[in-house]
Amino acid sequence: MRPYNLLPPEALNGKGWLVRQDNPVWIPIEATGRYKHRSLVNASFDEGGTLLANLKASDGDYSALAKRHDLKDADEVEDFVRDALLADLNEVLFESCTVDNEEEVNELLKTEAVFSVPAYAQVAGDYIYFNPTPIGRVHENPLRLPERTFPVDLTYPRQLMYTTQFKIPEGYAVHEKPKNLRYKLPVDGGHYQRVIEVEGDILSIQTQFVVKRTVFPPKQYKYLRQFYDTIVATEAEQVVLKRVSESDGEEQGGIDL
Amino acid sequence: MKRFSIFWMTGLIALVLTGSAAAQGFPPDFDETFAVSSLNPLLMLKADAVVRLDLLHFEVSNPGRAVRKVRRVVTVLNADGREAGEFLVQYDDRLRHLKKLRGLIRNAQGKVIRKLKKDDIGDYSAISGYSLYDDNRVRVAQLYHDTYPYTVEFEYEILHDGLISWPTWYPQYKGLPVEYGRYVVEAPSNLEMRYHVHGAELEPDVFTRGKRKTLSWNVSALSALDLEPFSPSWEEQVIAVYTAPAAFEIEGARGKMDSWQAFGRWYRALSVGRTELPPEARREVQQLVAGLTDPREKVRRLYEYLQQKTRYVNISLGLGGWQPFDATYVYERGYGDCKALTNYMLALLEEADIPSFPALIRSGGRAPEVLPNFPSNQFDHVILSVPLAADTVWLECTNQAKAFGHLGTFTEDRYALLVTPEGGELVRTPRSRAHENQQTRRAHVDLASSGSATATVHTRYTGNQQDDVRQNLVLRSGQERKEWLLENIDIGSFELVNVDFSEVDAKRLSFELSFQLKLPSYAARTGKRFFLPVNLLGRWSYIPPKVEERTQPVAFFPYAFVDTDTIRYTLPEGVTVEAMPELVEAETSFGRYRAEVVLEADGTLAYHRLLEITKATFPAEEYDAFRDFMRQISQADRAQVVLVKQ
Repeated sequence: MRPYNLLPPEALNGKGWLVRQDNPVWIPIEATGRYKHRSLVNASFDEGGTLLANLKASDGDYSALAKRHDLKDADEVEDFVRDALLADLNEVLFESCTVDNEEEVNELLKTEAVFSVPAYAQVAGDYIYFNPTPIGRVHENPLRLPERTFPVDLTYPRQLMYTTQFKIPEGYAVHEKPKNLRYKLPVDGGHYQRVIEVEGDILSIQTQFVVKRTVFPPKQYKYLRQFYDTIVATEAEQVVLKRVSESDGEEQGGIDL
Repeated sequence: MKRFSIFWMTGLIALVLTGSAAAQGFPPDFDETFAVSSLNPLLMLKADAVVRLDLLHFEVSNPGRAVRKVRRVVTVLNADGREAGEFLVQYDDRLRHLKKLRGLIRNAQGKVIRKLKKDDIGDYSAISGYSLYDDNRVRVAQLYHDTYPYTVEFEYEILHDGLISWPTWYPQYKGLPVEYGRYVVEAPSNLEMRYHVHGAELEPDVFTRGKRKTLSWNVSALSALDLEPFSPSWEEQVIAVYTAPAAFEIEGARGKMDSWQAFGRWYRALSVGRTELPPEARREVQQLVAGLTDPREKVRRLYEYLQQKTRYVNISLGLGGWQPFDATYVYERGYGDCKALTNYMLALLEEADIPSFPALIRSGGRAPEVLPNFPSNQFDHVILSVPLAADTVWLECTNQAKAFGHLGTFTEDRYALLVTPEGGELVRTPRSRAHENQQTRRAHVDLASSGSATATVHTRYTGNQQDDVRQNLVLRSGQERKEWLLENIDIGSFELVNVDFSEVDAKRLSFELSFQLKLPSYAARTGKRFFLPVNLLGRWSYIPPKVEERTQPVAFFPYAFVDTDTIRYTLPEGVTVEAMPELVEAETSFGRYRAEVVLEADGTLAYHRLLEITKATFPAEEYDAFRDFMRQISQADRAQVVLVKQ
């Protein structure tokens, strides 16, 4: 399942012994790829708060490797997509779901899915509240120990990009939205960036999670932990939509069925 | 169909397992090479492996001696069926002597491509290989090949010298489809043979020749057992033929098991004279119970003494699998297995004039039920039953951390064979009710205007829930306990400020765990608003998969229980509630759920959650209701309150 020249994660132990007649030496063994993920979601809501979404995702290198293993172990493609890409969502109902390039290991693993998530948004009075990070959300800080005496090894660099576009329901407007953020790890270790924009009736959100360095010594542990804490807090933030009052536009009570 | 009938009639005549198929009475067109082309295609539907042949032949020569011959042929259809080519045989060179062990692999056309013998540890190619290892008790053959499909064959013979159990035959091992299967048990005509068939109406063919009598059961074309999620184990759902003797003998100890009473009498006889304690031990017992009048308190005191002074070591060689070490041995050395420790506890109680009885039991969470109408050796463990005036106290004597009188999922709610002076008596251990297995959580969360919070959490666990948490903690040291807790607190980001493990070691049925947390961003903030998740800890998020036309009972919950949460939130100044979750109530035949948030007069928010499961296992028809129930919980447990800063 590995493409040519992608070292298996279990071989990424820092050093290897180069066996040769003359001058055998220790050489560095480093990841020959990244954990690469990119996805695009087009989403809207029905009047009850159900999320209707269209997902296109592509995974490369170590992300593809892990996902191809998951795909092989899954009974159904839907199970794979639910567990590997949509695990944050409470209940996913698929309309369609396909995976391409399962066998073509030199290509990106491509997933497409059309699905809905009941009660994703909370509809209350004049407001709709929802989390704008439906997929790829970091729910918890994986670093639970307050301190460490050994380094953290993240095995390979990571690069995850998520773009989600929400169509704002008719008759509503964005009342509050999370702030944009860019947060960097020290010594060019990586960064997290989130940009939320509203254009017309589209709220779009772009998230980048990039880790360039893989080994973080105990001295830097607190920065890495803080990095995750920040992401967890940021991705818990929600968008508030408010019903547009009568004077704000002609098309009041816009949901027309 | 005609083909099968010929097969089965002639099948009884020649009972030799090895040798050619013709000599075994198979039909003329029976394919001895097990080529895949001769495999019944109906059995291959949805299957990863098919049992082509399962033969078990048990030849008894006298109550203490028998030969077991096993031959299994399995066609592995794809990589998921690979495991079906793994075989295991247990022996010990004392009661069970391994006489023969053979394995081979055939290709799809039926040609033998690899052979393996008992002591054959060969050097084979890395791609298609096998391994065979031996720890003196078990040999495992892993017969693998790299091109599917292929067929593996495994054959062995065990000589039993000392016999308490006759085989239980599961032709559909792990639920695999089966082409042909046959179990033959053969014994002297004057030896009573007993049997019980589970999962099918299957009568044995009976055949007598000279002084030998034969019973045989045949199965053919059994389709695969499709295990549904959370269903009972495969053992409980497939055809099983239980056999047992009336009279048996093991290392000179003769017994009968044609009734529970008789089997209990035999067990009791083994421990006669083994409860004597040395004088210093007797003095210790007297000192321990001195001044106590309540028999229950005496039992408790002596049980705690047992827990302090002994530890569990499994030692069971030969008849030692049945006969306990004597009480003096345990007293002097401080260890023993379940029989020895139970016998020792019995001896301690006897010294205090409190009668008690060993109870043989089948241990384990969700262990298949013992067949009550088929007296036989169906047990693997023994506990102690202490009848008192008000009720009976049950003692698990192998666990140093167990709460007094608590059985838990390992031995509760099942048959046990009470060994009394009158012999054996089948009784049931108590079943814990929901209200006995509680998790009661009270927490206070102080929310700051930044969205951060501090939380003080007290959780009381009782009964089986107490076991689930406390047994995890009790084995760990201070730092490891903390680490375990860090891993098991289900909140996105937090600092553990303080934790009180003081009740962990107190071996009580009810224990409280308290801790304080700092929550750097508990309520997410967007502009003027806070989003406050109301269920602080232990959100349920699992939704069971859809199952079309469920047929098997649903065994999802490990036991009946009640969880209650009362979480109070103190809000920062100048904050008002904009949106609140509505009351959620769900009721089913097996449990109920209720969650609500109340804004109290003093401005605090109180979250109340109740989850009560009254039936751990329920019928197949309830599956959809179960899914709905779990879906509702999963949804409601995510509820949030929206707050606005004025």
